[in-house]
Amino acid sequence: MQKEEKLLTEIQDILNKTLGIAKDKVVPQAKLIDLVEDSIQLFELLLAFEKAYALETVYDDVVRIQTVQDVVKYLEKHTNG
Amino acid sequence: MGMYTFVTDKDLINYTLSEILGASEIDRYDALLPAKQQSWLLGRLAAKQALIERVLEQLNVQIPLKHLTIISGEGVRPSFRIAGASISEADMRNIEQSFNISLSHHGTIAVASSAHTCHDGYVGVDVEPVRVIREETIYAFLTPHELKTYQMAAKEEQSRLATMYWCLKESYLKALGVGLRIHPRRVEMRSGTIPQVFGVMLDGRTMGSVVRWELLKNKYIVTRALVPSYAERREIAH
Repeated sequence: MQKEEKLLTEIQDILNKTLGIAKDKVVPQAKLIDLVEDSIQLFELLLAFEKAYALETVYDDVVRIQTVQDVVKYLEKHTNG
Repeated sequence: MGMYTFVTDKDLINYTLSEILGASEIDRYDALLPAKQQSWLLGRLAAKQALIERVLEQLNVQIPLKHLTIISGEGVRPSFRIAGASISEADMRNIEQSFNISLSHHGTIAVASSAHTCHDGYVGVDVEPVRVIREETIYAFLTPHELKTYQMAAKEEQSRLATMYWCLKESYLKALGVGLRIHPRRVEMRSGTIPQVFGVMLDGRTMGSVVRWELLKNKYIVTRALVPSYAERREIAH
């Protein structure tokens, strides 16, 4: 649970810094398509996560990432620490 | 291009919500965030008008907008259902299975297109306002060949070019039905003799698909892709 909370805080920071999204909008049940304006912003988000966590997104998994909670779960699975 | 339908927020004044949407769609509309509702509604209106103008009227089928239901979910190609038309159930199902649609919306504008699946293939459309895209993002989605074209362009042209390349790829990936499951840099858009028309390469292989673009209202890029062969889609999607 602690790791999840830490990841959520980090995701809030990333969305805020990358796209100017207010942190209070980035809650676990929020849908990514509601937070971003368009597909370019969605792509920029993926890039930001890749950079922040030094990981290469398995783009096949992207379709399963719908909400902020899905992002948390994905990063929990694919990152260490 | 003449191959897509577009609507703007000004078109909405001609309708009430219940004239455009059926009951299930109104439920969906109500569940959306208020900031997303108008854009979503425009997408629905464009898709339904594209179907009526380019499919149903050609078949002499009259139908109110609300009797068409556009069905879409995240990561899934949209489809449609017809109800209450003056044709048989069998004919309605046949039309639903024979044609495919794509829609795209951004703020106060939406575009949509349809295609006969067997004759034309699968269609994908995208609309984006021309805008400055971060260099880091541009470098991430352009192939080396495309990047060369971008870097050689006049500074004042680069925003349009970058937006155009994004839309070309996005509409192709939508036509394939894969969205961002394929990294945009795996797709290369190659211009030929006609400036508005691009051929497609995927992972270095030439595909049979064609994507067209145009500038709409001097500020939006609109693209339409057609993926013609089932074999191409099956090979890519698996």
